[in-house]
Amino acid sequence: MVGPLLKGLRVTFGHLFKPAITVKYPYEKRPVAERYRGRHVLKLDEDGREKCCACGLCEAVCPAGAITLYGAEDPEFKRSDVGKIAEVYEIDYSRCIFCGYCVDACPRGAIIMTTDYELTVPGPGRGHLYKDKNWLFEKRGGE
Amino acid sequence: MPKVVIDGIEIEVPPGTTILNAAQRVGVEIPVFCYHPYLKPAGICRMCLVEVEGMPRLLPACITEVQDGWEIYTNSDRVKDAREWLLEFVLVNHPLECPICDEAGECELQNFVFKFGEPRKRLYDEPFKYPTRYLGPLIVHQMNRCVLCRRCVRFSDEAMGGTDWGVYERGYRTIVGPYERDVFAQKYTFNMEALCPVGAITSNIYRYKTRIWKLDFTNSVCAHCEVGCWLDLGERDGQLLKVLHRRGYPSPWICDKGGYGFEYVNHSERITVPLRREGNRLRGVTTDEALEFVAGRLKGLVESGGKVAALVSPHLTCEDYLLMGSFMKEVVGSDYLDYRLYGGNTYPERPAVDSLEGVEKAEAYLVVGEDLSVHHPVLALSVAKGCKEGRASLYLIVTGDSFLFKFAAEHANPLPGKEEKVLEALASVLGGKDYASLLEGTEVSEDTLKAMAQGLQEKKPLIIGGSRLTPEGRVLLKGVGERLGITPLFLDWGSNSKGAFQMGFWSPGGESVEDILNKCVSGEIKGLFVSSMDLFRDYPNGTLVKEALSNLDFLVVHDMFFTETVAYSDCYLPATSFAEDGGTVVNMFWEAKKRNRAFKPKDESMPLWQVALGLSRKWGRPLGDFGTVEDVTPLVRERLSQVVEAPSTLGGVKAAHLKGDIPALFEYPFYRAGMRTDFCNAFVQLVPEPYVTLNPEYGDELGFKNGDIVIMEVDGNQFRMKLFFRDEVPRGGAIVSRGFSDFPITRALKGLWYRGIELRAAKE
Amino acid sequence: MIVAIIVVAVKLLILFAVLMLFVAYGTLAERKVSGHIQDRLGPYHCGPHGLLQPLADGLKLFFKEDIVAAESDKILYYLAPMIAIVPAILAIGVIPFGESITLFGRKIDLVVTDINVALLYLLAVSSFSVYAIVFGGWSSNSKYPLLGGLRSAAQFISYELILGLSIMGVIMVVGSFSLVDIVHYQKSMWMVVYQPLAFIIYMIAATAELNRLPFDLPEAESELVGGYHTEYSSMKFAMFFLGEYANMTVTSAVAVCLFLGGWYSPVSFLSWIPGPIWFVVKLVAVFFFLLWLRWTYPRFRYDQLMVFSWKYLLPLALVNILATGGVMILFGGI
Repeated sequence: MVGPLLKGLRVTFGHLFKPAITVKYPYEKRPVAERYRGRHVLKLDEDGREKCCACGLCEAVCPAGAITLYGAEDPEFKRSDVGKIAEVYEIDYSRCIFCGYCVDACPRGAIIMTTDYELTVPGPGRGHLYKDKNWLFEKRGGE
Repeated sequence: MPKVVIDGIEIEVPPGTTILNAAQRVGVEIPVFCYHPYLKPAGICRMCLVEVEGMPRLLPACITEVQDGWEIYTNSDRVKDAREWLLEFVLVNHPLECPICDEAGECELQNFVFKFGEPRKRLYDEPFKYPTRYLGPLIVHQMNRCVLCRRCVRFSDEAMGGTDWGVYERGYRTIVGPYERDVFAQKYTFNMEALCPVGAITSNIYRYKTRIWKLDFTNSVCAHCEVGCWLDLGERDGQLLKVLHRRGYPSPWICDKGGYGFEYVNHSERITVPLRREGNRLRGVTTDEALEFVAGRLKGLVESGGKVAALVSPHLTCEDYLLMGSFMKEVVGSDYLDYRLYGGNTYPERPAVDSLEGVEKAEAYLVVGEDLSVHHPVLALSVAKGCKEGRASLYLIVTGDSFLFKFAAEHANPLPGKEEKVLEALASVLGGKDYASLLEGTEVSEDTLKAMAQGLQEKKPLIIGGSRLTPEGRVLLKGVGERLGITPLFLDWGSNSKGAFQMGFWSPGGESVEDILNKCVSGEIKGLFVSSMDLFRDYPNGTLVKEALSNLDFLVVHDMFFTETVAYSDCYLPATSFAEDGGTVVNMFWEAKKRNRAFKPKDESMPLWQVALGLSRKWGRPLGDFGTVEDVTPLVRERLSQVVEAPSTLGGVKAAHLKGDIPALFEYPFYRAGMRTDFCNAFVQLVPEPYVTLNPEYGDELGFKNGDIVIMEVDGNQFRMKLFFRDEVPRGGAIVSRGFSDFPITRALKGLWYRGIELRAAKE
Repeated sequence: MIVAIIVVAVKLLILFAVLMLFVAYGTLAERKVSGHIQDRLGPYHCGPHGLLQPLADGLKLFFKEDIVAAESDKILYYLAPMIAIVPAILAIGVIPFGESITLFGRKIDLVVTDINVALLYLLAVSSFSVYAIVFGGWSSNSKYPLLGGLRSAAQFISYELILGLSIMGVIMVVGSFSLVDIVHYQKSMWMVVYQPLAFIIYMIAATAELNRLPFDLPEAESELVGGYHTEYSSMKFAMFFLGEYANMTVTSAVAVCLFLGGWYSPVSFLSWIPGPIWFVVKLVAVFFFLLWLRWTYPRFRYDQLMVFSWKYLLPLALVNILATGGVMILFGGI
C-alpha cells in the first residue's frame, strides 16, 4: 500500500523539474500557418484608394450574417477608381465564423484575411466586437 | 381563330395576337428587352427572335402576329445562336460593372446573359465610353449601360405626350436622354427608371446605398394623393430605401411623389421622442409622461368649461380617424374636429366611375378647378391616355394647368379666381342663356366656350371637379352634369379624405377648419390637437393660424418634424410615417385599400390611433382593447359600409379676396404637393424656394425678365422671390408657389388660394 | 515591565509579519508547485516569474463585490471568516523558533511565550477552526456549504482525536507539554527517529485537519462547488483563504518543533547557521511536503476517510502510545 503512494510522490516530484511546455503567450508566440484565416483587412490600391466597391457579395454570401454594408457614391473618384465606396462596412466579430467566403466572393480582391488572430476586446458587452471600416483598413499584425 | 404550335404545344389564339403573347399564354419564355405590356410594341431589340417553320429568317416575336398553322420554335439551335450573338453584341460596349450597378439583381440583361448567353467575349477592344449624366436629384443616366430598347423614350412619347427625352446620333454612338435639359424631373420620371431593363437610368436617391436583394419589400398604398397607387416599400434596417411599383395597379405608371417622395421617412431631422414645454424650452419626456400630461391638461380644460378641437391631416388611415374621432366625440365630448386642413369647405361625394379603367374609357373629359397633374398625377395620365390616342377629347377650365393642356381640345385658362365664373358661363351656354357678361375679366374667349359646349354635347364626357372648387362651384358643376346626364367625379385634397369623411371625422355642426380656428381666436376653443400637418404650410391663412395658435391654452402637435406648428405647441408627440404602420385608406373611387407595415415605428413614434387609445386610457375611459392596427380594421370596415350624409356647406367663404394689381393663384409646385414633401431632400433640391410665374407676354408688358427677383406685396406683407415665365399662366394673372414650411407664404392668403398681389422689381 | 511588553509586542509583530508573508507566498508556492508538477509554469505575469502575484490577488480580492446571501444567518455568516483566521494567529504565540539571545544586556527568548501547556493550548486553539467551517456552512443557508460544514464536523472530530493521540508519544518521551522543552530534548537527535509512526500519523492527521487534499472533503470543488465557502466572496473569502494557509504554516511549524528538531541544525558542522534560519528551512520543507501531497494524491471518498481514521489510524496511534509506554517501562526511558 505504501509503495504506490511513494511511487506517486516520486512521479510528481520528478515532474517538478521537467521543462514546462507552456508558451508564454503575450511574450512569445507560436508560428501561424500561412493560410490561417484571421481578421479581415480591406485593401487599398496603389493610389491609396479603396478597392471595395460595395457590391454586397460578401454580405450576401456571409453564412453568419456578420457583414453590414451600405454603399455611397464618390462622384469625384477620389476614394475609389469606380466611383462607388462602402459608406458603412462593419464586421460583427461576435458572429463571424472566419469561413473566408467573403474573401472568395470578392470580385476585386478588396477583402483579405490575415494571420492576425488577436481579436479580444476590452470590457463587457459585445459592442467592441463590432468593427467598422476604419478598423478594417488598419494595418496591424500579420498583414 | 388561328391555331399555332409553340414548342410542341398547340394553342388557339384570337387573330392579331403576337407570337410573344401566344407564347406567354402557354407559358413559354421568350426573352425581351424592348417589349413592355403597357407600351406599344416596337420590335427594336431583336432579343425575342424565334424560328417559324418554313420562314427563311427568324421573326421578332413581339411584333409578329401569328398566322394559322404556324409552327414556332423558341428553343431551336438557330434561336439559341441568335440570342447568344445578340447578347454578345450588346455586351461589346456594355461595361462589366455589375458590382457597382444599382440594377444588379433585377437587371434583365444580367438575367438573360446568365440564362441564354455565353460567358465569353471575343472583342478585346476598348469599349466606347460615355460620361455619366446626373440629371438632377432624381435620376442618373449612364449611357454605357443602355441596350437601346427605347422603353423610356416610348414612355415619354406615349404616356407623357412628349418631352425632350429622345434618341440622338446613330449606330454605336447613339445617345438616349434629354436634349437640352440638365435637370430631368418631369412628374413621371420614376417610370422611366422603372422601365429601364438595365441600369442605364437609375435613381439618384437610392444610388449606391444598398443592393436590391437586401431590401424587404412590403405592399403598401401611397400616401400622397387620393389615387392610392400600390407601392412596394423596400426596407432595410428600419430605413425606407427604395420604392417599387410592381403591381401595375391601378395604373401601370406612378408619379414621382409616389416613387421618390419617401425620403422624409428616414430624414435625419425627424424627432422621435415626445417633448413637453417647460417655459421656453421643449424637453424630452417618456411617452407615458407625455400622454398623462396631455390627457390631464385636456381633462382640466374640459372640466373648466373650455372646448377642445382636433385638426388632423387628410393623409392618415381610417383607423386613425376612427379612434381619434371616438376619443374626441365620446371621451372628450368635443364637436369640433376636422381633416380638411388644406382649406376648402367641401365634403367628399360618391363618384360616377369606379376605377381608372372607367376614366380611361370615357370619350370626353371636362376638368374644372384643379391642375390634375399636381394633385392627382396618375389620374392625369389616365385622362391624357385617351386624348393622346385620339379616342377622347379633353376640355379644361383650369387656371395654369401644367400638363393636360398639351392634350386639351379646348383650354379655358381663366384668371385666378375666375374658374367658377367660366363654369357658370358654360352652364349658361349649355342652358342656352346669355353668358357674355359672365366672361368679362376672365381672359376666356367666347369661341373657346362655345366650342367646349359643342364638344361636350357631342360626346358623353366624364366631368372631373377639382379640389379647388368651392361648394357653390360644385353645385354649378353638378348642374352642368345634370344637363349632360352625368354625375361628376369630385376630387379632394389629401390621400384619405374619403376615409376621414366616412369615419365621421368632421364637426357635426358642419363647422369648417376656418370656423374652428376662429373659435380658437375668440377663446371658445381652449385646447387643440393637431396631427401630421403643418398648419402654417398648408392651411391657406397663415395669419389666422398664428392668431389661433397663440391664443390657445393648450396645443398638442402629433408630427414627425419640428414644424412651425410644433413651435407653438405645449406638447409634441412623435408620429409614424405611412411605412411604419398599416391601416385602411379609401381612394378617390371609394375603394378601401390596406396599407401594410413595412417596419416597426422608430423609437417612440406612434400612429394617431395609438395616441388616441393611450389618451383615452390616461383619461380613464379606454376606447377598447386594441393591440395592433388589424384589431381596429373590422370596425373600420363596418363604418365604411354605412351611408354618411354630409352637412350642407353652401354659403361659406366666397372667392372675394381679390384686391391689388394682379390676381394670383397660390398653387403647389408638383414636387411640393403631397405629404411632407418639404422633408424630401431631392424635392427640396428641385424646388428649393417659392417663386412667382407670369405669362411671358404679360411679364414683358410689366417690364420683368425671366429669372428676375421680385417683391410680392400682399396686405403690406412683402415676399421676396424669383420670377419665372411660363406659357401656361393666363395673361394678366400670376401663379405663386406654395407648400414651403420654412417660408411663410400662407400669410398672404385669406382662406382661399386666390389673392390679389402687387409685384415690383426688387432693388439690389 | 514596559520594556518586556515592548519586547513581546515586537516579537508578535515580527511573527505576524512573517506569518502573513508565509501565507501570501504560500498561495504563490501552491500555484507554482502545482504548475510545475503539471508541466506548466504557474503565475508568470505579475512581476518577475509571477513574484508579485499574491499582491495582485490581494488587491483583486479587496476590490471584489462583497456578496451577502439574502437568506443567510447574518451573525454567523460574518463571524465564520473571522474565526477562520484567528486560531492560526493565536497559535503562533507558543511556537519557539530559536535559542534565547542576548540583546542590549537582556535575555530574549525567541518565543512569544513559553507556557508549560503549550501543546494543549495549540490543540485547543486549532480545534477552533472547525467552528469557522461549520458556521460558514450552516449560515450560508445553501445546500453545498451545508454539506461541506457537515463533512467537516465529522472529519474534525475523527482526526482531532488522532492528532492528539499521535502527539502523546512525543509528550511521553519528553515528559513536558512545553514546546521549548520538546525542542531542547531534540538537540542531539530528532524526535522523528524515536517516534516515526507518530510523525506519519501526525502528518496525516494534520493534512486532514487542514482540509487539504487528499482530505479536502469539506470544500471538494468537484462535488460541492466550493464547500463551506461557496457563498463567500471578496474579503470574507480572502479570510478563509488566509486562515487555511496560516494554519498550514502553523501546523508545519508545530511539526518542525515536535519531530524535526526545531531550530537545531541536523548536522553539527552546520550549527554555525542561526537557529531561526534552520527553523524556517525546515518549515518550508514541511510546507512543500504538504503541497507536494496535494498535487499527487486524489481525494478520499467520504466513507474511506472515516474508515481510514477509525479503523487504521486510531489503532495505530494507540499502538504507538502502548509501544512507547512499553519501551519506556522496559528500558527506563529513552
